[in-house]
Amino acid sequence: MTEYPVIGFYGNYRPTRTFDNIPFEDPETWRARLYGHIDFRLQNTFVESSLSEFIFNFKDIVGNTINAATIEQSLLYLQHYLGFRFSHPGEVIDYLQKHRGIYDLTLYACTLTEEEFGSRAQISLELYKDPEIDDQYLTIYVRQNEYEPDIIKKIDAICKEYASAMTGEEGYILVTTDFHPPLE
Amino acid sequence: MKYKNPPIVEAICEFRFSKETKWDLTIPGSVYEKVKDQFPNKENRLEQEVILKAGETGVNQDLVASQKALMLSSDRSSLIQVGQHLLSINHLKPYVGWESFKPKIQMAYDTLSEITEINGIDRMALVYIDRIEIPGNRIHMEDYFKFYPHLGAELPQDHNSFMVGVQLPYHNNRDFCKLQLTSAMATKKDHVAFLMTTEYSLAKKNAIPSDKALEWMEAAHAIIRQLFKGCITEKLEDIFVRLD
Repeated sequence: MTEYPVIGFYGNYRPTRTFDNIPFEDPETWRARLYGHIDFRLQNTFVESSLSEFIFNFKDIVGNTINAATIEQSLLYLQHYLGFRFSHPGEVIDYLQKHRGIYDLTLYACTLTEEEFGSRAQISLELYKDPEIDDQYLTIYVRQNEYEPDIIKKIDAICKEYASAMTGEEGYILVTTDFHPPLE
Repeated sequence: MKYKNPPIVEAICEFRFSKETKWDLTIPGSVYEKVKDQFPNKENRLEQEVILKAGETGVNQDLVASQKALMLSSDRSSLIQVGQHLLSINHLKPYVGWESFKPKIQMAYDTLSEITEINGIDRMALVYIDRIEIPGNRIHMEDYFKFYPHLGAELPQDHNSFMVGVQLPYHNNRDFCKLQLTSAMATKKDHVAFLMTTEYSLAKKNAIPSDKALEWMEAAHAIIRQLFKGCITEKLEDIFVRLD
């Protein structure tokens, strides 16, 4: 008998590699910071057995073509390890499948948001569909029970951190709030 | 084996050519010129590749930036990627079948062959990624899969997330097929989800001459099809709804 949904570890049947010598002075510094952030965040939160598998899977995007499995696994990690909420995961998956240029940028925006708000907010990754025009994009909603007075300032700082990396990409991601209470 | 609700979310055909294949920065642009009717959207992507090198102090890793050109169909459901000594053809859902995917592979491969002489294939692979969603919160894996994590009678029978994989050798280890099943994020309420990845690849450099590459792909596809059928039960096929 198997029970789902679940939070748990992944089997570690693949050999674990380490990536300690990735040069963080790389020109695409935001991407290097993303790797650094995830390493740091997980090393301070989770035991090594789960960490190694996460790092291995996440860093598979380096040197391999991003594919459907990479995207799905990463979203699962956001849900399981960083507590992200997905109202309609299928929409997010489909959007990222077709806009792979912003895949790791999306992870970067997610980790920045989680770092800023963490347990003080519900963080939800959704696909926003403009009701007026044919436009849709990914949105990270930050929702709090009691909104911090400087929440917009904090959100703006996050957007500023990753926005320039979207230049030339077809896809788009926004961090915002709708000032609603956290959803069930 | 045709389904009304096929589980395939992505099919990938990838070629990595040997260093003896002449390559220059004009190749992606030349490929685009020839395929732009079918793949009109062109994007460039800077990716980073980890190069593993064995040295006196063990295995070292270098991170090398590489540019990849992506040529996408107008609905973005299929794409051709051209990078340094790399050609990849991807098809996302809706996947309408090998009969439709194969001509795209053939067209991309022939196009590249017209632009540069292919002198050796280091690696090639055909990959299918299936997303499987099953209604229910608790299921018996064995009802739906013939390939799944088996827990002996003395072990707890309830389990959480998992990843199981096996590498199967073919043709005296010339080819490998990696079969992997992992848990995934359910997109429907009260469903459980799984990702099944079947990756058939050439394990020995230059074991297949470049003019036989597409024959190899055809054979790879037949094996993947057989393996997929071998991994699932009729009960799971009922969810996909067989058409033939």
